Amino acid sequence: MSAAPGRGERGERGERFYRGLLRVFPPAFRARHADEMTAVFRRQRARAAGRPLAIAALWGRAVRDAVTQGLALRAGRTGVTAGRRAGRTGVATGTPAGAGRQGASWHPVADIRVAVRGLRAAPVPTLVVLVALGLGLGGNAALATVAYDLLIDPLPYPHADRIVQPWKMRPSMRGLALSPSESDLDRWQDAPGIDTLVRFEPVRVTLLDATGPVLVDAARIEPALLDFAGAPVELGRPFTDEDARGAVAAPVALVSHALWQVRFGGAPDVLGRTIELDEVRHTIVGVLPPRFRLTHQRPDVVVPLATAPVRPDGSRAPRAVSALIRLAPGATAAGVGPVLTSRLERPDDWSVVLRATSEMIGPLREAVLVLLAAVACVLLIACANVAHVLLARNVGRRRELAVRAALGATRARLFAQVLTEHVVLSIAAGVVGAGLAWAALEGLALWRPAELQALAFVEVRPLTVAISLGLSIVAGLAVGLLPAWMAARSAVASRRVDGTRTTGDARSRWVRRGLNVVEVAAALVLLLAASLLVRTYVQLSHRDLGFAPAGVVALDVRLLPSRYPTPAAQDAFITALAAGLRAQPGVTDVSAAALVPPRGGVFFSALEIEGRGEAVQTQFDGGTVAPGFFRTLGIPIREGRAFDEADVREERPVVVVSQGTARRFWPDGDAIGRRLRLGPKDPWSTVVGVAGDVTSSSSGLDQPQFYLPLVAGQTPGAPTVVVRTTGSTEALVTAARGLVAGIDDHVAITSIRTLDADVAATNVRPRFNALLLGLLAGLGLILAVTGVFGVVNHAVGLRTRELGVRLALGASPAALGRQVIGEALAVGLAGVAAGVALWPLASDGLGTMLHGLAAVDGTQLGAAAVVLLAATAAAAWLPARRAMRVDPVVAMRTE
Amino acid sequence: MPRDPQALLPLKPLVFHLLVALLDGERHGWALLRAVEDQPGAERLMPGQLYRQLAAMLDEGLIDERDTPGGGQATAERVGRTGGAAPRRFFRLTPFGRAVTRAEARRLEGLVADTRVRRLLSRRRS
Repeated sequence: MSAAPGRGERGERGERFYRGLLRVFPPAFRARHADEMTAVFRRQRARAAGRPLAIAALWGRAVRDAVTQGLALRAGRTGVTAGRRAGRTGVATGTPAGAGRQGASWHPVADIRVAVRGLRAAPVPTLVVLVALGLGLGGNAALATVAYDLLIDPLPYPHADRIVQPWKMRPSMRGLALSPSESDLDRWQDAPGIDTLVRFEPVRVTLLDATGPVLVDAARIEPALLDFAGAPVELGRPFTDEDARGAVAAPVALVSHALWQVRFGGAPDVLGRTIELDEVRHTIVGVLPPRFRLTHQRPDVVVPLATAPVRPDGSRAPRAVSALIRLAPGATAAGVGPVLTSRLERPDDWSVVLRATSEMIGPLREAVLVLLAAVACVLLIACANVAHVLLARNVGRRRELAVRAALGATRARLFAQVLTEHVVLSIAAGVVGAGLAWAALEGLALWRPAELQALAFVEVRPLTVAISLGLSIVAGLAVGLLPAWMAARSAVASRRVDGTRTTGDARSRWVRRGLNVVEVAAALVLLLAASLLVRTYVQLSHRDLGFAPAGVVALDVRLLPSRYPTPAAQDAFITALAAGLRAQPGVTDVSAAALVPPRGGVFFSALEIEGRGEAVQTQFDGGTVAPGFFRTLGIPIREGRAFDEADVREERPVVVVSQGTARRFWPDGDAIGRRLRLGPKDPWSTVVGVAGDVTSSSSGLDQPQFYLPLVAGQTPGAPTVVVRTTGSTEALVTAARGLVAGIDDHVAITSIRTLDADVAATNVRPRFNALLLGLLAGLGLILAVTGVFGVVNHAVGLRTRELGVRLALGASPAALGRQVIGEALAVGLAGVAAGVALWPLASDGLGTMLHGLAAVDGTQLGAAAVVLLAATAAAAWLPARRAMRVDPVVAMRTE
Repeated sequence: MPRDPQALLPLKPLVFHLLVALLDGERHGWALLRAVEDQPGAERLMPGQLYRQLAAMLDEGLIDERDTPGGGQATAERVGRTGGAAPRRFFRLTPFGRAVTRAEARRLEGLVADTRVRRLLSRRRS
């Protein structure tokens, strides 16, 4: 029969825990009294046995007793007399700034007060540190917030770490992916490893109100999506399953918070009002919460996703529907992917890839990481600068610290005081940095390029402040430790109160020179990275596009099926629009196409070249184009001819290929007259022309380019109309708007733009990268140069007497000046060498930001090195002049 | 050279309570704690507080300690009543400690003897 183990075990555990608490007491005290104290506490517990509240209160008192009494003993506060805090020796501890023996303990409040007084007494170095470190900390806090929003928490949904987006891929697609079909999603609904699956369809709809039609971002969503997103409606109610079923009969909608504020004045009676979307009246049943987003969009309106009708064979009509999946706890994307693949219609041909939310921002991820590294470099340089300032201050405080050491302050005491001062300073810089980060993020929100959609969601948050302050403490400790240690060491070791130099000064000078080398190396890395990105941007913006964008305007309109139900009706509108545009002054050519470069597309089909064997699944660029397209866009026809009206009228099976495509499929150089087809049921099309290669957003994948004649009704909605003018594009844009409204004022213009602007838009990201890195490199350079100046200037100050003696002995001022600059250049050279050695590591990280361009060449390296050395020499110029102007008589009187 | 008991006055209240508790003879830690808690005006004690003061009193020579119990009151303590191992250390007053206790008691008596204090006390009773 066993005893009651529970109580005994608990008792032992409790005793062990109490003994652990006693570790707060000094070791000698513990050795003497711990056993008895434990015995007394055991009895107290026994006394309270059976009363849980009393036991809990006892433990609370035990913890408090151990902490307060133990710390009091460690602080030397013992004694039997009331009202006096007498130590064992009976001598008062005094204040840190006062006379008397100072103990080794840390007095945080007093030390902080002393630190603040000291910083106020030396405003210039304090300001230098606040600015330099503040910039470094602020930059890091701002970039870290961007990185957090984009990479770590890009989707503010519950359990976002388990949310993935499914894509289907095939080997021949080489990295491009397709959305799954609705039938696929049906088959995945109950797959193991999936917690929730929601569907949505991003769309753009025409919202009609008193001011006219306007195209807005919208989405069709499943009723469950708002729950999935953890986004309860701000007003009204969410969608129900009945809404989804009755989406056609009694359409309802939810509007965004922004739309509610702007178009309805934030009035609470918005519920029940109607809006017209694509000419269909929808009743507003609710308002979305202010920060609602659907992956990277902030839709203005959402409507229920109507369930697509099921066909007789059980499949659904094909529809581009996106999906988000929340994996079950413990499931991984790598584990669930194959399960979903096995449930596809053709699992042997396709595979399912589940991409995490953080991967959804694509190439921006790499840019963010590079910028984080760059701004960390800037912080490194800033910290080195601050270390300079602190080391220089040590020299000025030598007398003060020596006096305190002579009066009995231990090295530990001095170290704690000086370190406290450094940490206080860096925390103040952290506050400055938080303010700068806020300003930077607000600025980013204001002038962020519109194309960089993902940045729209970055905003100042408490994390920004926390990062700045947290980094500031780390920086303060990292930067302040060495100077504090050196200050305490030299003060106690020398105990000389006359302020004369000791060997500690030489060590300090070497440390500072070493820091200079680090600064120059980091500045070189930044300069090289920035110059590389600038070169990338310049090369991208001057590359041969294969077409002539200047003077070309592209116009997209949306023809609603309700008003333009037939291809003939759509064609009539486009024809009328084209005729009106052709009549405008300055217009030379008008055409149309499904897609206009530089906006590329991916068309996908089973390409079969006659006489070459079986069809191969291929993706290609180009698409359907109207007669006159090549002339309008300035794409040269190298061989054969372009399409003409007869090709369209008679729907001839003809095709124009690009030069690269012709070389690839018919390397013997004779493409004209050859035949191909883009599907087993398609007719064989004859190649009638070979056009120049065109660069578009998808052409980097070496896709073939095929052009087919544009036949009315082939493009959903309407094709893009392109117009070339010799006159003003602004006037043409205005005229185009008037023409569209004149033909039908219910037609919304989806977009109207110049091709120059489109081409520039493709360069936005490289430009943004180059600009930002350029700014950081400039900042790094300024900080590094400031650091060099500080060290050299300080060294000259210390050597005033030596310089005076040399001048008195006949040395020429010019020689002294050259020596000063020479010493600075030596540091610069060492820094450049270190930077060059580090560069290969850094350049690996730049990766795809270079768009395939070569790494830095000798010229760039040489230029960056020259810039840095010149900056170093310039930084040393003023101190050199000071050295040259030393008055020997005055210098020899100076200590 | 004999030490002046007055030099340690005024005593901390807890120290005085402990000295008073030891007037009756040796006590071990637990008994001291119980005796102090039983005195009027005393607060609940925890081992840290108790032994910190005992350590200070040992340093000042007000008390000393023995590893085994001597005669007197201490033997009346039933060690095993509430469980736990038998205590090995007993504390007792030194002559100096007794002198300090007497000095403190006189000081406190002098305070209470003040006519204003007596008037205050008699007003409270009525």
